[in-house]
Parts: sequence; C-alpha cells; structure tokens
Amino acid sequence: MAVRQTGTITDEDRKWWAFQPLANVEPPLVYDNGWCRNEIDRFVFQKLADHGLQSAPMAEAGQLVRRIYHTMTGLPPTPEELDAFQLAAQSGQPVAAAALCDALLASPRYGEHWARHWLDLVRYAESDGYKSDDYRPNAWRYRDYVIASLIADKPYDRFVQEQLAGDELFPDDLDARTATGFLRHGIYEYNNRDVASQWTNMLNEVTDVTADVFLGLGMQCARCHDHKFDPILQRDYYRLQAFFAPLRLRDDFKLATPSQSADYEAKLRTWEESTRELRGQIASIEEPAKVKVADEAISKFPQEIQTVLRKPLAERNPWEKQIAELAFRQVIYEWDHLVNHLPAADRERYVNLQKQFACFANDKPAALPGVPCVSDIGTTAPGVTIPKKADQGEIEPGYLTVLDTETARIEPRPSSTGRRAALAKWITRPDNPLTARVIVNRVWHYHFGRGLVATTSDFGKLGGPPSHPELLDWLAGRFIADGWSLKKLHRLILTSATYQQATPPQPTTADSENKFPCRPTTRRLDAEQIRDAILLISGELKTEAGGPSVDWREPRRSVYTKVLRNTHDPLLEAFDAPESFSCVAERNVTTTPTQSLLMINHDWPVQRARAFANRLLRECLSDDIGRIILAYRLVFGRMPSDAETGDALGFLERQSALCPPDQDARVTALADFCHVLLNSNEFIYLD
Amino acid sequence: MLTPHHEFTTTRRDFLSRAGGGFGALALAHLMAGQGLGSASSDVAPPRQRHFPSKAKNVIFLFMEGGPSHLDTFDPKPALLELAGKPIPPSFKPVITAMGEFHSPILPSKRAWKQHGQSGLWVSDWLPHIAECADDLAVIRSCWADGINHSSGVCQMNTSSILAGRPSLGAWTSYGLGTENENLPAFVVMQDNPSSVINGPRNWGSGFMPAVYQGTRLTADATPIANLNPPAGVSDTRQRAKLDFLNALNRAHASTHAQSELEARIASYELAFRMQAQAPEAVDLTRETEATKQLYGIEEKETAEFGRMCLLSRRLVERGVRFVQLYSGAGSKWDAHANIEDNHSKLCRGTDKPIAGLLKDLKSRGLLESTLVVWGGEFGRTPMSEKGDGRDHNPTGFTMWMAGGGVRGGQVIGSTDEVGLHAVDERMHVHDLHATILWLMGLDNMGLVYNYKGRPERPTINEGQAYTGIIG
Repeated sequence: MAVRQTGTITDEDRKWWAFQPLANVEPPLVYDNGWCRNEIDRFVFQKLADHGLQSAPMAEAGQLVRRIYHTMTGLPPTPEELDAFQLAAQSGQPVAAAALCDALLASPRYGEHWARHWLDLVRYAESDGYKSDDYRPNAWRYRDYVIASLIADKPYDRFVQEQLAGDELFPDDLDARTATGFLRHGIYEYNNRDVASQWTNMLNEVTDVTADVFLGLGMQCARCHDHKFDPILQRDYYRLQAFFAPLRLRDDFKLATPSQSADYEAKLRTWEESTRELRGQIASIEEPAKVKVADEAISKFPQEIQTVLRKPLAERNPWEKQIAELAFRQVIYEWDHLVNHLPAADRERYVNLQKQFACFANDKPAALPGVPCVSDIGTTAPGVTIPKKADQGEIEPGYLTVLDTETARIEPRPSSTGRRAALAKWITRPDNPLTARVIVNRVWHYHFGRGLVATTSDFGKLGGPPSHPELLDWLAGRFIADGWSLKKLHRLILTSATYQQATPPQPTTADSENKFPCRPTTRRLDAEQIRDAILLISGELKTEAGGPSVDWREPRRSVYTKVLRNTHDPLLEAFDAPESFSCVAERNVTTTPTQSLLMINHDWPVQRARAFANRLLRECLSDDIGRIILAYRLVFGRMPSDAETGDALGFLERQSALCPPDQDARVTALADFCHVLLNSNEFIYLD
Repeated sequence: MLTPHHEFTTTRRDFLSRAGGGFGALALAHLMAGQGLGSASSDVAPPRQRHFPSKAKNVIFLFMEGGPSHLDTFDPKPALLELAGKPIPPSFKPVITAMGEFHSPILPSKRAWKQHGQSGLWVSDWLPHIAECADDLAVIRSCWADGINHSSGVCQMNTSSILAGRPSLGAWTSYGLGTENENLPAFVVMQDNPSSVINGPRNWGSGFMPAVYQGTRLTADATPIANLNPPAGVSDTRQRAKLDFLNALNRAHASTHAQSELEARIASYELAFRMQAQAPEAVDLTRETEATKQLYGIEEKETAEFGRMCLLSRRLVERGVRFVQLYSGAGSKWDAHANIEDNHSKLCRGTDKPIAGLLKDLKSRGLLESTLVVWGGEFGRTPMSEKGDGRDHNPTGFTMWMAGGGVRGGQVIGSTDEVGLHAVDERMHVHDLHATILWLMGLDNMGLVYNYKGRPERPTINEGQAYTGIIG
C-alpha cells in the first residue's frame, strides 16, 4: 500500500468508499426459489450466486432458539422456553422466530446483554486505573443509562448526542447528564504533579475514543503526524480535539430536579442550623489546618502550576481554570485526609468533636445522587495548537478535512461554548457517511461474529473493504429511515433467512473465511455469557436489574459486577473480557490452558456445579435419567441421545465409586457430571 | 525445539495432534485460526524467525520496584559531598518531581565506593556480591524515562508507554519468538512478597494482543501456577475420570464441527493435566545441591526469598521459559522517600547475594551466554533530599545494567551530569533500553509488528534504537 503524501487531501482520497454518501440502492431481484425472507437475503443471495456459492440449510429449531436467546439476551433458553419455541415452530418456524425476536427485544435481558457491547466500545470501567486504582462509586449510573437507553430503543442519533453533549443539547434531561459520563471513563492518576501533561493525555484519550467509537476511524496516528495511509491530517486530529478543549470534569452535579434540589437545600439548612455550634468548633480546628495543608500540597507542584493555583480565579484564563481544577483535586485529597495533618494538640479534641458530630449524621438529609459528568469551563475555549507547531496558529474546531474543509459552525450556549453540541450534531447528521455505516456494521458483527466490514473500528485503508457494500449502504439507509432504531435493525437481521441458516459442519473451501455467504459460524461465547449462563443453569442467577455494582462473587449478571482496571474477575479475564483502557470493537478470542485450569480447578465453577447438581436433585426427584435429561436441556438446549444418557449413567456410577467416604456419593457424582458439562465445548460454543 | 514460527504446511488439526498441544501450539492455533475466531486472529503476523542472529535466548528481568538509587549503587557522584546540604545550583535544568523536592538540599551518598574486577567498574559497598561479577556487567548510567510516578514509571518500564493498555516487553518477546517448552508458559513472573506490584497484573499483560502472550504468575509452593491442582478433596483418579468424560463429550462434539478452536480447547485440557505434573518439578528446589542453595543465599533469612526466586529463574530458563521477570520490593518497597539508609541497605542485602549467585551459577553452567539478565527499577532517585534523609523519584537520569546474552561485561555506558540528575552522554530512553533488549534477543524493534485497529503496533511505539555497542 502506498504511503500518502503528507499535508494534502487529493481527489483520490475523497473517493475512498467510506467517505462516499450512502448509495441509494435497491435490493437486487434474484431467482431464489423462495429462499429470501427479506431484503437482506436478496443482497446475500446475489453475492452467493456471483461467487458460485450456496446458502446453508435452515437451522433446526433447537439450534435457532439457542442462537436467538444467546445473541439477544446473553443467556441460554430455559427448558420451558425451548419447549415453547419448538411448539410454536411446528406451525411455522419463521413466524415463531419473529415472535420470539419481538418478545426478547421487549425483555430487560436484551438491554443488559447489548449494553455490554457498548461498554466495550466506550472503555467503560469503574476505577481510575493507576497506582491505587480508586473506585468510582457513581460510574455505574452510566452503565444503567446505557441499559435503559437500549431497552427504550432510544434513537441512536439521540443516544450519541447525549453522550457527547447531553449537557449542552438537553440541559434539563438528567439522563443526558449521566450520558456524558462517556467522556469520563478514561484513566486518571490522583497524584500526578505533572498536571499539564495529565490534562493533555486526558484530552488525547477523549479524542481517540470518539473517533474510534462513532466514526470507526483510528485517528491516534494523526496525533503526531499525518496518517500514513488514510487522509487524516495531523491538523484534523487537533480540529477534533478542539471540540473537547473547553471540557470541565464535573463531580458536583446532582441528579435531581429543581424541586428535589430545593427540598434538599431546605432540609439541609435546618440540619445545619441544629448543628451550627458543633460545626463551628470543628471548623475552627479544620480551617487553619486546611490552609496549611493546601499550601503544602500546592508547593509540591511545578512552578508554573503553583503560579496558576495562586492566581485569583478571575485572572485565570480558560486553560488555567482547567489546570487549576485538576491540580486542586490533589489539595482536596489531602483535605479528605486532614486528620493526619492536624497538630497533635488538636487531634484528640478533633476526634472527640467528630464523634459527637457523628450522632447527628442520621438526621442529615440523604445526599442527592451524584454522577461523573462534564460541562464546559465557560463560554470561551482555551486555544488549541499542534504540539511543536504553534507557529501554524490556533486550531479551530472542525471535521475531517476530507469531508469538510471548513471550520465548524458553533452556536454558543448560555454557559458553554457549544462546541460539543456542534460535533454531536455533525456526527448524527443523516448524511454523515460514517456514523450509520459504523453502527450498523457493529450490530452485524455482534450477530455474525464478523462485520460486513471485518475491521469494525477501522473503515480506513488498513481495514478491510466491505464484503457487501450495497447491503451495508442499504442497511444504513434503512436504519436512518427507521428512526435510528436499533431494535428494528435487530428484527430485520434476526428474521432474515441469512441469520437463520444452520452452521454448516464444514466450511466450504471456496470461502473458508465465510466472507460472502454471511452465515452464522460456530463461536465461543463471550466471557460474560459463559459466567451468566453458568449462574442461570445452576439456578442461582438473581435477575434484579441495575444499581451499584457488586463483587463478582455475587450471583448477578456480569454487567452488574464491578469493572476494576487493575483487578479482574478471574473468569471474565481468562475468557478475554476487555481491559477497559481503550475502545474494544472486536474482542480477542483465545484458547489457553489458564482457562482450562480455571474452569476445572477454581472453586467458583466447582461451587456452581454443586449448586447445579442440587438443583437437579430438587427439581427431578425421580431418577438419574430424568436428571441427565434436565441437565442436557439446561446446558445444551437439547435432549441427550440414548447413547449419551447411557454414557452419563456410566460416568455417575464410576464417580460414585470414587467418591470420598465423607461425602454423599450421589451428590458428588452428579456435581462432577454437572462440572464436566459446564466445561464442555458444546456449552461454551454457540452454533 | 518447537516454536510457533516453524513452517507448517499441514492443518492445525494435524499439528495439534502431532504436537500434543502446549503453550506454543495453542498460541499457534490462535495464530493460524481463520474464520470464527474473531478478526483479531487475522491481524497476527509475527516474524517466523529472529530478525538477526543472536546469542540471547532468554531474559531474566530483575525489577527493583519503587526505584533504586543509582547514586548509592552504580553511579558515584563526588560532587554531592561538596554540595551536601545546599540547594541544587541553578545551572541544572529544573525537573518536575513527584513530591516537589527540586529545591530541597542535596543529600550526599554515605556509601563507600570501590572499583572492581579487571574492568575497574565502580560499585558501592551496598552490593559486595554483585561487585564480584563486575566484569560481566554492562552498566548503563544514562537511562531516562517519562513517568514521574510509580504507576506510569512501572507501566513504561514494562510496556514502553506510561499509559496503560499496551503489551509488556515479555509479551512482545513471546509473541516474537514463541516458546521452547510446550508445558510451561513462555513468560513467567514472580514477586518477593504478597503485596500487589503497582498496577497489578497488567504490568505483564498482553495489552491489545491475545492473552496467550501474557505473563503467568508463578509461586514456589505446592500450587506454582494458579488453579494448577484439582480442588480440595478431588483425587487424581476422580479428576482423570472427569477429564476423560469431558474429552469424550468434546470429541463427539468436534466430530460434527470443523473448527480448529474446538481441537485446541481439547488439547488445552490435556496440557492442563500435564502441567499439573510438570510445573511442580520445575519449581522443586529440593533437587538442587546444598552448594547451589548457598550460592543463592537460600539458607540465610534475609536472602532466602529472593534467592529462591533467582534459583527458580535459572530452572525455568533451563526448561526453555523465554522471559522471566522477578520483582524485588513488590508494592514500591524501594521507594525511599525517607530514610534511604535503612530502606536500601535492607533491600540491597536481600537481593545482592541472590543476584550474584544467579550470575555465577548461570556462568558456571554455560547459560549466561544465552541468558540476558537485566537489573533496574522504573526510575532512580534524586540527588536532592526528601524529608531530610530520603530521595525523591528521578526519571531523568538513572542506572540499569545488563549481563549475559552476548553483552560485553565490565563496561560503563553513558553518564549522568555532575549530580546524577539528568542523563547526559549516550542518553538511553526506556524505548532504547527495550530496543536493545529485543535486539539482543534477535528482534528488530521496528520489524516486530502487530496490527491492531488498523495500526501497525510496535513494541517501542515506533521509537527507540538498540544500543549495539553493548556487545562490542
């Protein structure tokens, strides 16, 4: 591939497929003997015919129902759900599949599963990621926001706008504030004295993730130089960054309506009145210490940061305001540990006063819920220049030069610059050639294991071309026409003959990469699907939704467990859950002995297997055969064959004989059987 | 030797059945996998052989976590005595330090210094045993890094970047060269105490590369690798019976699916079972002679822990483990902001004899030629004092040394300024250090490429140059 000439955009650049407007395509007319069920199939059939390939037969009801449940909800079907589908399918599988699809799209389980895909993209985590990896107690609200948005089928354009500029575009909508948490998921080092560099890194991080997630373009290269292969100028990187340059990180925002806030303030005043004297005494110790501690903390910064911090607020320019706020977090950190800094003479009295004060804690009105979010530092943005190229002047916000050479038109807002609102509007314009293609392709990727463009976050020249360019454009156009509805897109895909094909036992040599047929392939479940399915099967899964995250040992869905950057759930980590440092569009899928050791020896799967065995004993009092059948239905979604039942009975008998005398041989043998099923490929892989 | 870079013309299934699976084979299964594996697999394009001929086959990286003082170990600065108690002269370019100690008074070194060996290398009296190996060491006095705090410093010394998310050097090495032992991980990590190393396991993670390249924690106990042994109360017979039943189920399933991953997963369980037998043997120090144990200081309380780790490293390297990383002072214990005398004398004592033992043992067994030993921390320490008797972080100038693996011993590379604050001659950034380590292993830091999200990613982020003078 030719390395581009730097500094220019050529006509050739503008011809790159991903920068072309969506083509207004009609699905082709095909002679398909009735194979096609909807427009998707006509595109797919045409491509198959062009390459002399054939579609696969339709999936059996059992295979299809497991696939639909797993891809839509992240959980396998229960035996009752299997039966219901198989019964319905007897009078017509396509109709039954469509009905099931509608039912599952209406289920909260759909939102919980698909939110995880989005959380991968936005590098969602609940901790800072540096040395102490501090927990972010309110970060989970963003996760619940994503789940709720998907369940409500919030139009994708609105979903994007809220995350980039909810504060500017929907200032009265509290959910839209939570949405801007998207800009807060990056790493943060609480004690970095090099405040200016940390701020630069934070802005770079936000710029990178925005391009990755919404535009499907890797722009990081252009941070230091014009992109070597794609028409992305270094200037474009900083044009994009300029939209974020006025960012202000907010942890003081409360998720409360004006009347809730007023109510809270009133109650707080009453409480403050009742504790005035005690608070006064505490303050008389704290205040002088705070001044001293602040001074000490400030003196640890480099000289220029100290100068900024010691400057009166009114004299600080926008950049200095940002830097001062970021630096001042380190002063607040010391204040939060003030007792360590008190003079010895005061310490005892202070601790006593705090004890007395604690008695009033119960009367204090409950704090309003907070959320990490953003606003702007003011109505004026700090200047942006290209590092080491300040002579090229200030960089104004603008879009990719290859798409739009002009500076962005910005409408100032009452208390912010309006820059992010302009960016959000541009990204979600129906004629933006990237946005709809990128999200439609991502959804396709999650359903089929491979996107129509295989490199789902790279629509540039180092990525692959679309296998079905017309289908991609048609889907993107239809998606916009359908009001940017993700649920309608899912329904379209799920009800296609393409989706409902059987996974063939042998990939055809003519198309070993499965580029053209677009058919489902046998795939390993994602880490969360494995964990959640185990909990569902063992009968332990608690389906309660939302709220603060829990430890991974709690039997909740994985999406509700804590996402810490430096400490992972061992099971999720072993099965390639993302590290949450940057946008992950396609997870790695690895097969390692670490996984096998964990699944066969770690106490968590062992305990789940025991719970599973006890469930079988509870629900199936009769005999081993009944339990084997129920286990197969729970784990594999099918009945065992006679031979399989025979093998299982033999195994139970052998394991009973090997059981230690202090254990119940029946339970132990059954738990071993359950444990093996949970380790099996048929469970971990989806057809 | 079996590495992932052999030419394979047959199918993965053939390969796996031939090789019986293993760490390398599984990595290969991933590398070769096409459809169904997610597109990550098609991005993998490792070199099939070394880029250059090289002597070093293995690396033992001795990581003194927290930042050891170069000014009190390998980089003597007589000027500090003259400046003692005074602020640093204005002629030195100011730096940002973690605790803001730039203007604090200069702290002289209390060490006695001597030249050692034929080469006359300077080593302080804190490291008398390592001093005996002076002629094997190439001491690089001109190292510098970007991270001013532990988190970013340790992250960079492992991954080349102060920001998290990139593969570690050990991961790049196992990606580039594969493994020579199918039954042990290619990249192994040990630490001297249970505290978490700053940033935790992501220091030895594979970042955006597949997890097969990540480091595996190893401990010298009955369960050297996590989850190695069957759960309590499960006999070997019962475990074997479970694995046999699992194998039968998986074979039946695989017979209706042409998917190499399924075969790889079957093999991975077999490997798990074999590892259970082999890993304990690799870490079994009872097989070593008394003389060897004494050489490493295992018999003495202060040196026992790190001595065991050093001896284990030799055993692992002998068994083909590619990259071994040992953490001394896990959890920033070398971080002597106050009372550096107590802090460093204890840590130096705890590591000096074990490290010297390792060098001597490797040498006497002819393994030093093929084993590159690297010593250092995430940064050094300032000439300025902190809290009167400690030193702040100094990433702008510090010392690391390398030995073995073709390195010419008894040489000093580069220098810091008069007070040891800034590296001045032959400045070696972390990227250069990593490039040099890779080069010694036969890998070109610009030629080792992993395509990720449309970007050709390289171990030293497209920067850094190998210091080839290290072998001459």
